[in-house]
Amino acid sequence: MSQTEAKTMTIEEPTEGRKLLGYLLEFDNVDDLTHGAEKVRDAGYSNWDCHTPFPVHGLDHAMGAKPSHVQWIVLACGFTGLLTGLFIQWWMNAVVHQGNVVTGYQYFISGKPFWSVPANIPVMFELTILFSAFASFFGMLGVNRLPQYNHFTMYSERFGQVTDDKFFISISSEDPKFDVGKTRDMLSGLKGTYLEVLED
Amino acid sequence: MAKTLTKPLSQLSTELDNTRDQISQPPLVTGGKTFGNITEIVARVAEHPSAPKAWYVAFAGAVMLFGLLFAMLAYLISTGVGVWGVNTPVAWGFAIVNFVFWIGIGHAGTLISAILYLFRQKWRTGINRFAEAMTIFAVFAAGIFPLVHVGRVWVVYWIFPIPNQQQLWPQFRSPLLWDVFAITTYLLTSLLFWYMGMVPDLATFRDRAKTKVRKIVYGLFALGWRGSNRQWIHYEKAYLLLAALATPLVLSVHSVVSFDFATSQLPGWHTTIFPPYFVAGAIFGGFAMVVFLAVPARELFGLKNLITLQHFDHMNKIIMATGMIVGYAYAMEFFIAWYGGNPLETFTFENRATGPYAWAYWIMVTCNVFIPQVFWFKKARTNLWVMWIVSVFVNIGMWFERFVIVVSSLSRDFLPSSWDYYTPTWVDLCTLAGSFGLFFFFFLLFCRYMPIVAIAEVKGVLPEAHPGHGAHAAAEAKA
Amino acid sequence: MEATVSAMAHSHGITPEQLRKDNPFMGELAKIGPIALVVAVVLFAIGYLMSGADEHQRFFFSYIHNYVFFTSISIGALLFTLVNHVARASWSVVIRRIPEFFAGSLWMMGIAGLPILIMVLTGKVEVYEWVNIGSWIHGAEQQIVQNKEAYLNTTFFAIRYFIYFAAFFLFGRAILLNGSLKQDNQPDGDEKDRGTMRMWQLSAPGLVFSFLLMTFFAIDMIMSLDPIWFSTMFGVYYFAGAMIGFFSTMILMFKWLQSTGRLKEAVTVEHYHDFGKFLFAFVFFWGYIAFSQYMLIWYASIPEETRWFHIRQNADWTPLSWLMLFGHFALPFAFFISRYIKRHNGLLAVGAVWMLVLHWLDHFYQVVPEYQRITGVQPGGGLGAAFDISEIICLLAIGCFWFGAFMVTAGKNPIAPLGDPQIAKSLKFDNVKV
Repeated sequence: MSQTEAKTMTIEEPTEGRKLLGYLLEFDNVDDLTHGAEKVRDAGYSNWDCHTPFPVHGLDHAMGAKPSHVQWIVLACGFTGLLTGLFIQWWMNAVVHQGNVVTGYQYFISGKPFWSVPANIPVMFELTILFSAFASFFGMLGVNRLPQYNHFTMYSERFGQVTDDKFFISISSEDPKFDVGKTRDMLSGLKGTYLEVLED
Repeated sequence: MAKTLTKPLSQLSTELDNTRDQISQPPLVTGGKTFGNITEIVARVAEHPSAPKAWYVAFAGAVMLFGLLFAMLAYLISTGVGVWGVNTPVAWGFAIVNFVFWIGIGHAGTLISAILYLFRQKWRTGINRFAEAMTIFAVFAAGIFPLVHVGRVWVVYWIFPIPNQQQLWPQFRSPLLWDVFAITTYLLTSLLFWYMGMVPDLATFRDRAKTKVRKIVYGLFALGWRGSNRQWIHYEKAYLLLAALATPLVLSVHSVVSFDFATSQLPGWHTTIFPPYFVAGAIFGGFAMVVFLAVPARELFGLKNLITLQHFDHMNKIIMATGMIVGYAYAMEFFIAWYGGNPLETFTFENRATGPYAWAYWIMVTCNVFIPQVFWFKKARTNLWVMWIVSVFVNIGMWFERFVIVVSSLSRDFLPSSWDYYTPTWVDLCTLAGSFGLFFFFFLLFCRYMPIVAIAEVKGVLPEAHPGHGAHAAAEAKA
Repeated sequence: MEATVSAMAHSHGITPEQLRKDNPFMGELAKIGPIALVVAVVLFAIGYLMSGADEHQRFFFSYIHNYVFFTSISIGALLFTLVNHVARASWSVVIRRIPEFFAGSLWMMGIAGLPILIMVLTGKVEVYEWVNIGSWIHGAEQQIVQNKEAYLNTTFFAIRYFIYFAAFFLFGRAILLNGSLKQDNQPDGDEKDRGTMRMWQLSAPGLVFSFLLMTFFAIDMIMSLDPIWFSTMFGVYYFAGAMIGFFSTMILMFKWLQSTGRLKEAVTVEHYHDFGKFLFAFVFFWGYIAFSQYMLIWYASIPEETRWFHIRQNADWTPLSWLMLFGHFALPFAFFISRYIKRHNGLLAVGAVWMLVLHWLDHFYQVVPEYQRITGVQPGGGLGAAFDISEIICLLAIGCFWFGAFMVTAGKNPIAPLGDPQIAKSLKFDNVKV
């Protein structure tokens, strides 16, 4: 809304003797956030992130973030589901095992062969979807390391607004390029509204 | 915030018409709302100290009906299926009719969430959460019926492929077993989809929570979501994949339900168009249920700026379109029943339209094909009373569609000497009423305590959510 | 890869003014139109004269096969255009003119179908057995088909034929194509907007009628080749194939136009990506419909229904049935699921060619086994013997006619809707993260 008018940024000072966890810079619109992210990306940071109430178009590129590869997990699981569906139906209805092995059970139904694949397609399909759906959800959680109830951004008082209408850039002090002074100077040059120092 | 909470929710929104057909499409969110407003509008529903009076009345009614369902099921299980009106030849009565009806209702949620998502229909964001919740509770209601219809409900686990002492396995060539897999998959996938979409909104509730209980409960379920873009990347991909998986799933579920009928040789059941016809019918009935619930909900909870007339306009168009697909299927069935030249088939269709169940057939045709035609008129599509009444008719019509398929075909089967008229007993009727109790019980709780509109997604369709569109587009939207 | 990269560079879009400079005309290419029509007539004459030995019986099966194949693509274009108007879609505006030309030339397929109509009306060649129930159908079947005579008779066939193409002319040419052409040089303003809104409104009933007419067209042309057999799904099955044919054609059409230097900036990888997505969706939909139809008939196992599949999955036709399962469904499903392929227009074009060939074979599979049933000829030499040279001649003849009709319709008109009120919005389209 206010790309042209100058922003005044409130800047906090680090406290002596407390462990510095990182910086958190607040923005009030997506344009400033996106431009800010480009600057942080170009400065070569790696352990940093943007936080937004909703996914922002073009931010991945501005951050230089790699696309997701969750689909490969889903594909592998979906294929497993398909084969599982095929296998259980063959094993349970199409063959009878001998000896001490648990046997399948052959039903003679409406003159169809014991192994009639057209009738097995629906279950194969459903299991493919079931396995894939679990893979997308749990695969996403795994890749994102969720649930995670402890993160340095949660030390902030203001960070709660990220799920409302504020946008943030966080830089962890564990980033190899992190420097108390330089990082702060870099961040204070962006169009943020509040630079918070996160301490233990 | 404190100020808004002193007023009843229903007085907190105003009706604005955003349905004008114009080249530059009118905004989806009316009243020039900001990101903060959207959070506020949705969150205050769950945070308001008291729900609207109508909510309490409805909830009391739902609890009573839910209790009735328990009583009926207890009576059924302790006495036997003889308490129902099923006879020979109509061995499938209300239980199957209700099952198919509720499963059908459960299709709109996934359609809105998944198919409209893939088609980039942004208007889905106002109503998807709502419809997804509806899906899940409708599947609960549907699941009750086959469960008790098996007779000995205590051994119902036999339908799953679990090793047992008789060394028997399920019979996988049976469409009823396909149903078990289809419905289970559908329920689980819909739950995941619903929950996953809700995670960012639960985080919003967590961050606004004032009491300890709320903080812990919402906090736990929000999984520590912090809106991180590195997480959004995977989240969005996974959501897209779930949508892409749910789309064929939603087609398959009602197709499999239709296979229960269509794989048989019974005239009126065995016809190849059944799978897509059932899917279209399910979407039709499901959308009608969404309209039926959304009209009062937006009124009571002050959501008029998020669920706008434009949303209803779109939904009513879909109701009309799917109603016409259903009409197409009725017509094809009739045409081919004659064209196919099979006398049994021809008789069945004549019997439907003129036989003892003709009354049910004509209720079905009237409600499903004729009444939705009012939606050709925009006045009807944007009038809340008209659409609400039509949605009631459509639901009645869709229930009767299943009744016609199940009962009229069975009651006059191949052997005239065994023909019989099916009449439901009071237990049948009370169980049907009770299933509505179950559905509304869960649905009303959802409305009261969960994010009823997808907060994050609605924010995403505001013009200022897109970099570069910011100032200019926002000003345009307000104008 | 190169193509992908160069198209990516333009994904931020161009302006309507730049579009006007992006060579949006057929120009020299329009000359192909009349030539193709003449070639079509010559080829038809050659094919017809060459096939006198069996009174043109085999020739007409080839003709019907190729005729329903090319018509399906244009019907797909008509339905696509109608749906996009109904949905008020803006993404598709820039590519909408090509489907509009196909939809606008669909009525000309009514001319291409005249040999079939004449063959039915004169009743000399045994192709549609119901044309002469008394002498071409025997035994118990005769009574069954006689009961259908109210529908299956030559007069009503001709009337329906006329209705189909009159309606296709009305919707495809008079409403959609003319409405869109009119906007090309119209000044911006309310009147132009009203034109778009009129098309939006008329497209809803247009869609209803077109779908119904398409269903009966498929029943008349293909399903009634076996007057006993029936399937309520058949119209939907034809529809699924038509959309596959249409989207494949769109991919190849734009690839060809761009390779001749037309619309190089306007049509981007985003549009190919969407065609790819639609193609993938309809491959799946076709699989769903084909499987449902097959499985239900297989499961119930009623003789008057299974007879259709019985011919097609036995003896010489077995490989073709398997090819439908794997070549028309499984393989393309796995191929088009990849985003990389959908955004790589070289690979996408390979997939499109494959789907067109398979769609053609799908119609071969639907039509030609009926020749075997009627004549009782057992080729016995595999699929090759079931094939006939007339297939190729008809493919070229009707293909030339169909393409010529398209080119004549395009003529001097712009090949993108330059004046559409939504054109600017459409040019900005980017679909990776919408």
